[in-house]
Amino acid sequence: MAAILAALLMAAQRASTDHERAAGPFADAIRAAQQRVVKLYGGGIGMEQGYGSGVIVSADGGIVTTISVLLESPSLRVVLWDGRKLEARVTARDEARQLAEIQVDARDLPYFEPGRSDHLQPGDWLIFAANVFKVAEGDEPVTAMVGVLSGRATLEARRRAQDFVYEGPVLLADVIVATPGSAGGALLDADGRLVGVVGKAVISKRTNTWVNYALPVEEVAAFLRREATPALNRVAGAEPSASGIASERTVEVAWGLRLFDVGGVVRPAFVERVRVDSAAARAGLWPGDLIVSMNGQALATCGDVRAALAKLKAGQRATLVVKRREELVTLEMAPEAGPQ
Amino acid sequence: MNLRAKFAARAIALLSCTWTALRGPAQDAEPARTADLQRQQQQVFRAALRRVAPCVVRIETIGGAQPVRAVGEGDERVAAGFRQADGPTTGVIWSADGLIVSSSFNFIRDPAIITVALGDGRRFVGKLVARDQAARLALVKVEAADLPVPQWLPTPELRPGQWALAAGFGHGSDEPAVSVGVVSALGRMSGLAVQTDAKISPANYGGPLFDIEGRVIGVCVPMGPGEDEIAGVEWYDSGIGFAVPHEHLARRVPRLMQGRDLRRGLLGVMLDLRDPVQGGGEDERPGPVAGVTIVEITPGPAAAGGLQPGDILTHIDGLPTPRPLDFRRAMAQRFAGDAIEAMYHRAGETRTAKLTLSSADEIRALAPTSQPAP
Repeated sequence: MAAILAALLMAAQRASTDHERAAGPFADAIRAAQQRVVKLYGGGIGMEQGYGSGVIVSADGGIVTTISVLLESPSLRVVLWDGRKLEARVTARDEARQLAEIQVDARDLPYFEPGRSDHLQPGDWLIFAANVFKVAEGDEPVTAMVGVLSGRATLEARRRAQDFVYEGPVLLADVIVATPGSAGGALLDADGRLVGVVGKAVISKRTNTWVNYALPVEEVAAFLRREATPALNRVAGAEPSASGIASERTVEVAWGLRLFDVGGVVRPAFVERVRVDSAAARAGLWPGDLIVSMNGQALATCGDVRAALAKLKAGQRATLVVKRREELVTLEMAPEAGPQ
Repeated sequence: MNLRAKFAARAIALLSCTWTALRGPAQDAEPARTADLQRQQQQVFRAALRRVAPCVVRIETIGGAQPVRAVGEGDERVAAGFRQADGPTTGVIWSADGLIVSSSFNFIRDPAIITVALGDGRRFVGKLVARDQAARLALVKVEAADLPVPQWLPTPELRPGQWALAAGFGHGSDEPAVSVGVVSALGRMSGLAVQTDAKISPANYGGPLFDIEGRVIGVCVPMGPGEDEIAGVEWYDSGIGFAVPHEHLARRVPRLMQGRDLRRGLLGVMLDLRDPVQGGGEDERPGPVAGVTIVEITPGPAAAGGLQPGDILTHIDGLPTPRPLDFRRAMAQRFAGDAIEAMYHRAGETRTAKLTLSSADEIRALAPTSQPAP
């Protein structure tokens, strides 16, 4: 195998100049990013910076960025890689994803075709490019950094005192992107493909630290196709609909149990009540039990339990594991009294 | 050998043969293309993570109170701005029979319930066995058998500059999230910690710091200026992170297994710290012997053993203490309740005293009470 590899290496070496060989693929990716990530300038308000970043997504001047006070500026300016300064106007907003599309009058711009990010695995290289701390002036290219993909998670964060509306999937970056000016910047893979757009700087509720994250490019593409996100409904409605709660509780009623759900960030699935002669009672559930898994799947919250119960098909048995005092007890939920 | 291990071995083989190509037998050998090196490097990161992942557990805690950060003295404790977050935390399997090493940071709230989820989806109720106040460790026990244990990297083999990766569940990912860096320094924080520029934060406290072959270097912990259990959190994402390496774990875990919290062992003395590099050489210090000078004694072990201000401590259990740093390193390995032998110098004479170390709380309790709060 070593011989094959060596032969491949030799062939590859002959095909490239010394210059390219020394620079490697990061150089190509960074060059691509620096031509496709723009600097944004406008008016700052209070603690909000008057600058940011955007990613060019069409040859005729479509740019994706994050929603920020910048967009409210009477004069929103875009500086391209060659130093051209253009006025931009906002053409679309997605409150749920906290993304916006802005437009400048230009032609034949280099741009990123939003593709996919699911080929990336934790540990894979990432290139980050943005107007970080606005250190790049005039026609200077934006800042580029190299790191790796840390992992994937759903965001659960706050911005200042408020919950952050976007609670969808994110790429966790092992490179510091939660910095002034970085929102709207690009994350690329080592081949120079756009894999994410850096979101607004937020503090994770899970760790109480700034999160270095980006929206996966799939979310960006969905926004550009004007597809709603499930989260959008929650935001638009402001308060959860009564019917939503009713349907959640319906699952519990059908199985004859009630979860101790007092809201809050962490809602462990403690059983509050068990109806006599119900499926839950026959399974042997007791009030005070903490449901920890169903059919081998770990369940952390009341919501997880409801979702898992709702997914059960009629007649399907469920193996529950509950924590009862200091023991884990396995229970079988019989199908006959399940939801029809 | 399972598939993952095979994959890891192959990735490493790929990289090492590239290195061979790079270094080559002849000086003018063609260097490998950076492109290939970078791609192979990525494979190696993936493989290292895969090897370590089965031994990394996700810990959920439920209930308990927010921490109170000690500011001021005695009862004048004020809650600082920091709030312990609600997310999952991380631990590393220590033994196949269910011992798990984590960071005391993850249990600040004294949670009512601890659950531990393994990589294979199994979930257990965990019991907090004990905490280590100085090294910020915690030991958790689950009733399980045949758990996968990691391969540990012997601490003496560590070298600054080698790859060091950290992993943790803090951000709520299904698989441990990874951060890549290098070993920055050894023997930091009174000798207790390895320093790394991998991003150590609440996202991976309690998780492993591991090398490129998936061998675990140590357990990530918050450490920084100050003594309280959240000190060091403010250094997250700063390029300065710490892990307690295996050689210290191997000494401290057996003590934690006894079920009692480990607290710093103190003598109840104030040392002359005016010059941080004092006593570095024989000539630069005017004192009669190489040691640290006691300037003040509070009620406690040293006072009970007859030590006085002006005494010069030269050895702790036979370890020379020419500088305050040496003294701190010696004391970092000792705990409240431990009996030690202190050698000191007084008026041209060398003396020894057998002392039983106290915790900070015990010494505080002995101190003449300050004005009680109104």
